[in-house]
Amino acid sequence: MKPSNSDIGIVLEKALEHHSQSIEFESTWNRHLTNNRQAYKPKKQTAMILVAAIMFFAIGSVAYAGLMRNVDKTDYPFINDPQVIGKWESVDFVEKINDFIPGKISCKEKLYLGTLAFTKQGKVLASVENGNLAITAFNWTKDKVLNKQEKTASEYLIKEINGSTYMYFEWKSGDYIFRNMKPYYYVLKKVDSDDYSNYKVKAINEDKIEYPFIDDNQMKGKWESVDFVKTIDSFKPEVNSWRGDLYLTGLSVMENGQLTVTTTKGESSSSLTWTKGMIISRGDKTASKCEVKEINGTVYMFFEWKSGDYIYRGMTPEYYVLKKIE
Amino acid sequence: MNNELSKEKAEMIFKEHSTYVYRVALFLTQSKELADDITQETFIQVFRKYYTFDSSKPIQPWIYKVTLNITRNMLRKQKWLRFIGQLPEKSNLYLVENSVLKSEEENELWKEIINLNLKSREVVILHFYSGMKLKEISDSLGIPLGTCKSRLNSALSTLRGRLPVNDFKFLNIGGDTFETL
Repeated sequence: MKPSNSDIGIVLEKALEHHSQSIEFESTWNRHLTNNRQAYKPKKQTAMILVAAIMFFAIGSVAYAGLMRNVDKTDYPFINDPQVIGKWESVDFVEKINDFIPGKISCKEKLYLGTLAFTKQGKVLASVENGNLAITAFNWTKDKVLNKQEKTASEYLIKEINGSTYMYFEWKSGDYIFRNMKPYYYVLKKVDSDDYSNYKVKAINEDKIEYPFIDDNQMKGKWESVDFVKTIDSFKPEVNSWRGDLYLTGLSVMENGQLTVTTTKGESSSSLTWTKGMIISRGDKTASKCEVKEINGTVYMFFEWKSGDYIYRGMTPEYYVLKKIE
Repeated sequence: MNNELSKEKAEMIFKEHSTYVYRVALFLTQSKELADDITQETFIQVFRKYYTFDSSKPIQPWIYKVTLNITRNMLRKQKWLRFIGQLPEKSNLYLVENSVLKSEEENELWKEIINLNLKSREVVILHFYSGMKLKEISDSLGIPLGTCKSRLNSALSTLRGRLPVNDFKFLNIGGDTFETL
């Protein structure tokens, strides 16, 4: 492992060269052996009880999380708020509104949320971690930012401080939804009052979508969503990875590349088409992998979900897992 | 894959890689205690899962993948403990002695590097210190190559912004010139 000759490499090498671990091989090897002995020689009865307890806990946690998650009312009518229209840039992340002092940043870490842009049509664009502005699932109405998919309604409050306009935006992430933690606030400063309704969102990812149709009997049929996972290998039939509602509820894969999609918003004869191993969206310019696998006697489809996170934010797509029902 | 791990082989792997694993963990966590814990946990896991490793491939990216996962979990745990008030505010931060970095410029650069966010520090340490190519780093981090390049470029842009007056030529080089494969 030869460090690079760049200036960064030289500085890192100099800064770290006098440091080494205090742990030794023998203690590490002994711990490894101890762990292995414990792993390999459980009593059969103890092992069964342990497995049962883990499964019970896992299923119980998922059920508990599903039942006990925070659900906000989100069906508010649109009420305009001219003050909020425009671009806002985040300057701080605080526990309470009164914690914010202009010019003094209390959050020690880099702010995840970069910018918000509120449009006249009630939509919200956002950028995260120095990325470009992208479409979000948020809508807004006076004093609230709504996410119908996540079932959150975040309050916002606009204040003038020392001649500048600030917004306190209640950040309702998984910590609030599933762990019942009190939401913190992003503090954003107003940059402009432009209307971003016609803003051309830059796509980071565009796939090749011209593929000939190749038939595949394995893919054809009706499929029902059962999970949403980071990778195909991480799927376990007995445990749900995804705690929230699954937006995509089902697919009908039909003859000649035709496809209909069912979501929580209802069924659509979509602009999606399919070919062997792939589902293509001409509108979004995406070609998503589809892998059909049989696990424990049940046939599943792993559908690579290329949403806005992939197209506009360059994130790695995750997978819907669907079970064949017909 | 028949990858039985003898004690001799394990010791060889440990001797070759442990110091570098420790230094990467130290750089990312800025804590000697955590770095020791991470180093030991890394090798316990490497020894345990060695049978799954494809010995026709280089071992370094695999070891670092384990290191980074453990580091992230440890840092998350630290955050939680701090949140619930079960961690002293001052953890065991390490500081580079002034005598190690001789020039003002090197000191400035070091200060800015350790102030980068975690994701940037991960790619920086693996690329510039461990000498890994971007494809190997992307495998270790479990992210696409494009994302890896983007994080490295972002780190260099940040450094460029914070170190405007310097002779660091690397800051002016675009990310595409870094060895990827």
